[in-house]
Amino acid sequence: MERYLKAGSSFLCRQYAPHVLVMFLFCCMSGFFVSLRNLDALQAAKVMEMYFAFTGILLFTPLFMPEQDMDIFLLKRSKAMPLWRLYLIRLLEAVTLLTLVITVFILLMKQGGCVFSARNLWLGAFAEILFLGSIGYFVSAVTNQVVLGYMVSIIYFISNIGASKHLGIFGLFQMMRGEYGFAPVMLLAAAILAVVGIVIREKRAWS
Amino acid sequence: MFGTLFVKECKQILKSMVYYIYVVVFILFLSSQLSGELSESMEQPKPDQEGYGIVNSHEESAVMEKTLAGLVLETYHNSYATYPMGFYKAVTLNEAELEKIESIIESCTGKSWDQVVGELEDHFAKYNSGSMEEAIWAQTAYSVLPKEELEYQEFCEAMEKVCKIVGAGSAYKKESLEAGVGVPMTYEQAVEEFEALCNKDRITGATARLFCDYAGIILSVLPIFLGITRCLRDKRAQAVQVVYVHKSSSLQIIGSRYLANVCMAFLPVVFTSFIMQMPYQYHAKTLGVTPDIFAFLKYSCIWLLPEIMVVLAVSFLITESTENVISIFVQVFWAVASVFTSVSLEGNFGFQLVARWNALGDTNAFWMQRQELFQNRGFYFILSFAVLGLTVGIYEKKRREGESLYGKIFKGRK
Repeated sequence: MERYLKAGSSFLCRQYAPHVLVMFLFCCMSGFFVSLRNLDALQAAKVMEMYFAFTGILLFTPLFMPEQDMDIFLLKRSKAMPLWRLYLIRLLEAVTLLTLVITVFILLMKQGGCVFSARNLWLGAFAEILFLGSIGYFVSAVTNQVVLGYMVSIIYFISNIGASKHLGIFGLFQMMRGEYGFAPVMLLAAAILAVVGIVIREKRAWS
Repeated sequence: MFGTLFVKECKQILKSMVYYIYVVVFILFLSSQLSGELSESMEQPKPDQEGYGIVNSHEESAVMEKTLAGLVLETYHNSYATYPMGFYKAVTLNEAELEKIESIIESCTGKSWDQVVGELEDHFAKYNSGSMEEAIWAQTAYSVLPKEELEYQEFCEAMEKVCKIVGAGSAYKKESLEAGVGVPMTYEQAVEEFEALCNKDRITGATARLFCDYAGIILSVLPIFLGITRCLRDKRAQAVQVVYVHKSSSLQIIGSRYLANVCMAFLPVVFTSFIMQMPYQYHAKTLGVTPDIFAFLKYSCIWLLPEIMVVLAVSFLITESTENVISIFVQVFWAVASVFTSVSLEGNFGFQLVARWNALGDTNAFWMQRQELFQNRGFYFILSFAVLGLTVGIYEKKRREGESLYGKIFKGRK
């Protein structure tokens, strides 16, 4: 257990900290850009889907960043701890932070007199933000380029502004239309992308 | 030497996946925004048409009517558009605040809130809400008459009260009222506008502006990734030291990289604009107008090239200085801020990175603001060279000292 905690805290302090800092800065600035009071269900969904969706990109895309450097990659591969466990720890850290962000902002909206189903919004926001983040995560796993991960996930977000309906169940901003049925599918898709991403990295370790 | 390096860089870019994503996204974005239906909105206006579009008015009576109409609509939906930091923020009021706004509307119109809502519903019931075109007409034609004895000064004071309730950056602040309001265009004004479209823009000029408006949005983001990828490539390939000891000067190395990126980023813009101008050239001929076949190229060079140059230069500078991807966060924020802080979707260029003219036509208004656009683009053109010069200086420093800029601070603590 101690080894896992050490691996997690080492990543958090040495590589992940700037990204977490940017994410917190982004959340702290939300008051300037979105209102968190007197919102109905559709307006609350809009805030979550249009603004806080970016936290997924910020949290999940850089998880493979340290191993972009081949020397570090080879060094990590030579260690006793398998790479998949290391990636799983990082993934758990990102999921924990995302849970924290969504919970805090849903509580703030409730305090601001917003009227919505907290359970539905929490689940929908979690599934959607996780899915968007997992796109960046997956692309950076496949290409070994974090820049491509950011690029594809940002483009996916932008393209959804006009073409969300054409992307079916995987389209973003569905809660803004009052639809919540996408959550289980997006959660499953995010889980698949996360697992496949780790498997690709692990396979790469043995090639 | 510079030429050889430039060709090598171009070849490197052609091998990059980021570049192909750039090209595909750019073409898809533009083709989804600029459709062939645009030609239909460039027809000669007819006297019996239902509407001719909107024109800006500063008349006090028009300002009061249209501002009150906006306030009634926003109160009816309980959603107020505000821009406290330049970004759009929807504000929803509670019951007590809504009652205050309703009483302000009642005092300005001399009618009860229920009466005002009744008139609003009657007006919009005349139009088919399912049709986008009719919904726009309904919005354009809707106005709320103030009571006869209401003075303009009194009206402004009432709007100040609304501002205090709704919050900063609403449409009821003094500056917004002074900027005027959109009122329906008359037939005579529409004819004058059409003549300007044919004579000054020769049709293709107007569509080229719309092309630049859409392309400018996506080009404020996409080149960032090209710049970052290029600057981090040496590090990824562990070729930094090899390049550092190369006989070429820092100016040649960074200059050739930058120029190659600018050319390759601009290439799909020229290609897309050339393809997209064809239907409009044909449409101009059907109207008996000789089209300006170089309009797309001229507008692209003046409007989009300085934007690509400055976006790439800043991404080069930040990435060479920090050696990480922080440029993505900074520049995406800059781009989004520029898009959302635009006072209007037409003109008011100021020092906006993304110059907006989201209208097909409005030729006379554009020609009046043309100088402001030239100043804006000229500023970014010069800025890109200044930023590039700074990047060359930083690269030279790193080359001489063999260190990243910030690494030395920690080294000194040993």
